[in-house]
Amino acid sequence: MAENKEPVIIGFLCNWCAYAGADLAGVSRLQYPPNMRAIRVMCSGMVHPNLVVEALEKGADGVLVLG
Amino acid sequence: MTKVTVAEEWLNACAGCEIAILNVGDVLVDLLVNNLEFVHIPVILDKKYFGQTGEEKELSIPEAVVGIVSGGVRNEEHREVLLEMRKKCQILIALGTCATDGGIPAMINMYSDEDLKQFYYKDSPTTDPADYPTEHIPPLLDQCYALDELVNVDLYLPGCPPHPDWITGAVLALLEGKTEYRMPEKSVCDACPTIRESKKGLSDIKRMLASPEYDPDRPLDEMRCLLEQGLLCLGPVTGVGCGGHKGAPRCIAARVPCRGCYGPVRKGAKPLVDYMGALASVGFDPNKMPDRRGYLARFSGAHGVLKRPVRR
Amino acid sequence: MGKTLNIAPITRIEGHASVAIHLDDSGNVADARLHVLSLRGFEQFVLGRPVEEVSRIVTRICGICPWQHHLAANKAADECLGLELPPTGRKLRELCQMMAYIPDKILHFYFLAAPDFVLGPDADYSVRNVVGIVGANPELAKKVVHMRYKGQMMLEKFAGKVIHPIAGVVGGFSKPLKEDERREILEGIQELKEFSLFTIKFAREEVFPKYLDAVKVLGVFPSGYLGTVRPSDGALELYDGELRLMDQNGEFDQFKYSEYVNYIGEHTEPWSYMKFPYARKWGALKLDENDPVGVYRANTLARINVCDKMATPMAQEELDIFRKEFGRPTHLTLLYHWARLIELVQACERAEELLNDPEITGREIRCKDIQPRAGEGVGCVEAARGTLIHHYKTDDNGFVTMANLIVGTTHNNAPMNLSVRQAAKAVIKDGNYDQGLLNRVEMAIRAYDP
Repeated sequence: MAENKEPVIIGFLCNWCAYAGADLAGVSRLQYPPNMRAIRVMCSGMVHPNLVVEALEKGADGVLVLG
Repeated sequence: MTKVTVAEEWLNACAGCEIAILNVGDVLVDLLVNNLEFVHIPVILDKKYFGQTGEEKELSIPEAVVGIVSGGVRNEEHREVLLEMRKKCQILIALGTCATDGGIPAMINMYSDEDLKQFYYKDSPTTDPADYPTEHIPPLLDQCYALDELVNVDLYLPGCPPHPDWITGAVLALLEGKTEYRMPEKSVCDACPTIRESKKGLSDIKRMLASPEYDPDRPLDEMRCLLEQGLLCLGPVTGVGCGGHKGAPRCIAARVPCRGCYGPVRKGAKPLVDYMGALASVGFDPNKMPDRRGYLARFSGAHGVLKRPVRR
Repeated sequence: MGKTLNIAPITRIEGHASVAIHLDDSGNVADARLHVLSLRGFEQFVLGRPVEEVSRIVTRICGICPWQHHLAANKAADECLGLELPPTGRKLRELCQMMAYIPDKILHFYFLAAPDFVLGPDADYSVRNVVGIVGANPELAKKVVHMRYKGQMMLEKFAGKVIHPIAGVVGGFSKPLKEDERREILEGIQELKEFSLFTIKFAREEVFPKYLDAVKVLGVFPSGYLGTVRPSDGALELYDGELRLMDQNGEFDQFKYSEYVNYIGEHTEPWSYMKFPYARKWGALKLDENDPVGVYRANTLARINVCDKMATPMAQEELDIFRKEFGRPTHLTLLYHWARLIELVQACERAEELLNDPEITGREIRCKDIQPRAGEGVGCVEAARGTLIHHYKTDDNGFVTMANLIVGTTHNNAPMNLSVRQAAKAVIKDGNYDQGLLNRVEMAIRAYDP
C-alpha cells in the first residue's frame, strides 16, 4: 500500500437524521474531508449487512452507517 | 462424428482438478478415443507456448472449441495465459474453486507480499537470508484473482476438487451442442442426510479438537447434524455438489464438518454475513466464532472478499 | 551470447516451471536453468489458523499428493498439542497413505513417464502422450485407467474424499474401518498388487532395457540422498520413521524429524521463486553438475538408495535385482522410474499387511479431550515426490504462529537444475537441436516427477 493513500469511506446516511445533518453542515459551510461518499438511504435500518460487505469488497476502506 | 477440440490450462493451481478429470474413470478412455481432441493440456500433452523448440517470441495456444482453466491468477504469466486462452477458445470453463472464487491460494489476499517474502526468503528457520528473486520470473500480481475478474467465463464448475459427475455432465452437455450448464443453486445442507432437530444449540461452539457423536455402524442419516452438535460446519453457506448428482456431501460422509470447498451458494452470496445468521438460528453466539475469515472465506478470497491490512 | 530456447511450459509434470537454455555463438550450451514461476505462500496464510485446521488447508499444496501433506500436517499438529495416538488411529492413517500411493505411482508411470519410453522420446508431441499409449496398446491402456480408477475410488469410498482428503484429524482418524469395508478393500488391494507386480516385470523386461543407454547418460551426476527409514532395521519407510541423509559415497547421518533444521539449509537464487535446500554439513551449496556441493536428492531413487532393505518380501526381491545391476548408491537419474515401481510393490504389500492386522478395525480411533496449547511440532511423511517436512508453532489457543514447510519437489530443486544443465549439454551440440532432443532434457526433469 502506498504510504499517502487517501482512504475511501462509504457513508450510508439516514434520510431523516444523518443526511439532514450532513445537509445542515453544508448549509452552515462546515468543512469535512471529501473521503466520505454519502449515500442517502430512507432508514439506516434498511442497510443490509451485505451492502456493507459489498462496499468493502468493491474497494471501500471503511463504511459508516449513520442514523 | 468430428471430435471437439479442447485446450486445458492450470494457473495458480495444485493439479487436483486435473486428477479429478482423470477420476471421471473408465468413460474417459471412450471420450478420448471418440469425442474429444485435446490440442493443449500441459499435464499430459507436450504442446509448448513458444513453439516446440522454444524459439518463438510470442506465447501461443492453439484454437479450440472448449477451453478449461483451473487455478486462480496470481502472476503475470497466469494472466497472459488466461488472456490467450480466452482469445483462442469459444467456450471458457472455470474448473475448480480456485478458478471460480480464488480457492485456498487466495487466502494470501489477507497478507502482504512483503510479509510473505520476508519470512520465506529471510526469516524461516532453515533459510539463509537472501534478496528476493526477480530475474526471468514473472512478477506476482497485487493479489490472487478469480478468472472472471479478468475475462468473461462461460461455465463455472466449482469444487475443490470438482466432482467428476459435474465434469462429465458439462462435457456431455457441450457435446450435445448446448452452451449452458449450471450448477444447482442450493446449499450443502440440501444434500445432507443428517438429522436436524431445529432445536437450539446445546453447547458452545466446538473446534475440530472435539469429535462428533455418532454410531459408526449406523448410516449417515442417523447422525445428528454436525452444526447442531456444535461443530462449525459451513454447509448452510456452501454450494451443493461435492457428492456429485446424488451422493451425500463428501466431508460429512467421512464424519467431519464442511469447510466450504464449493464456494458460496450462488454468485454474489456472502458467507461471511450469511453464516452469522446460520449460527444464530441454531442458538450460537456468532461473536464466539474464532478466525472468521479463515473459515468463511477459506475458499472464496478473490473478488475482493479478503484484503490485506492497510498500513498506516 | 547466442540465442535462448524457452521450453515452456514443462509438460507432463505436476506444477509450473520452464527451462531456459542459453546457447553460445557456436550453438553449444552456455547455461540451462529451471525456473519455478510462482509463489503461493502457504507458510504465510496458515498463520493465525487453528492448528487442527491446517491439515485441511495444506492439502492444496499438491493435488497429486494431498494425502501426504494432510498426514504430515496432522502429525505436526499432534506434536504441537502433545498427543499420543491410539494404535488404530495411527494405522488407519498409514493405510490411507499406502492406498494413496498406489494409484499415484500407476498414474506417474503410465500417464506421465511412459510415453517417453513406450513411444520413444522422438515421437511427435501429438502422439507422445497417454492418448498415444491408448492408440499403441488399447488393452493395456484400458486396464491402466481402470486400475488407477479403482485404487482412487476405494479410498474415496472409505475416506470420503480422495483428492484433498479430510479424514485424518488431530489426534487420530475421523471414522473407523468396518469389517465389510476391510474385506472389500483387501480384495481390491490384492488385485492392485497383482497389477503392480505385472507392471514392474513389464517395465524391467520390456521398457527399461531399450533405453539403458539413455539411462546412463541423461541427467546423471553424483549427489546425496534424503529418505525415511525404520529406526529398528533401516528398512524403507513411507509413513513414519527417522530421516537419513546420505552423501554421494554412501556415508549417512540418521536423525529425528525435529532435528531437521540442523541438517538442512535453504539457499535462494535470483532466478527462481523456489528455494534450494542443501545439506548444511557438506558446505555451501555449489550448483555445478561436475562437482556439486551440498546437493542432495529426495523422492523414490533417494529412498531406495538410503534404505538398508525394503520392509516387505516381494519389494525386497525387486530391490535385490536393482542393486545387483546398479549398486548403492546409484546416481543414474532415470532410475527414479524403476525405483518408483519397487516402492509401488512395497506400498501394496504394506497395505495388505495393515488390512490383515486385527487392530485395523478397532474403534478407538482418536484421542479424547484434546486441549489447545502452545507447542511446536515437526511432521514428516514420504510423498511420491520426496520427503515432506511440516514444522509448526502454536500459541496458547492452539493457533499457528510459525510454519516452515519443505516439500518434496523443493528438495529436488537443485538436482533438477543440475540434471537439466547436464542433459542439455549432453544432447545439444553445435547448434543442433530438435523437439526430440529437447524432450530428452525434459525427461531429466520428469524423472523427479515434480
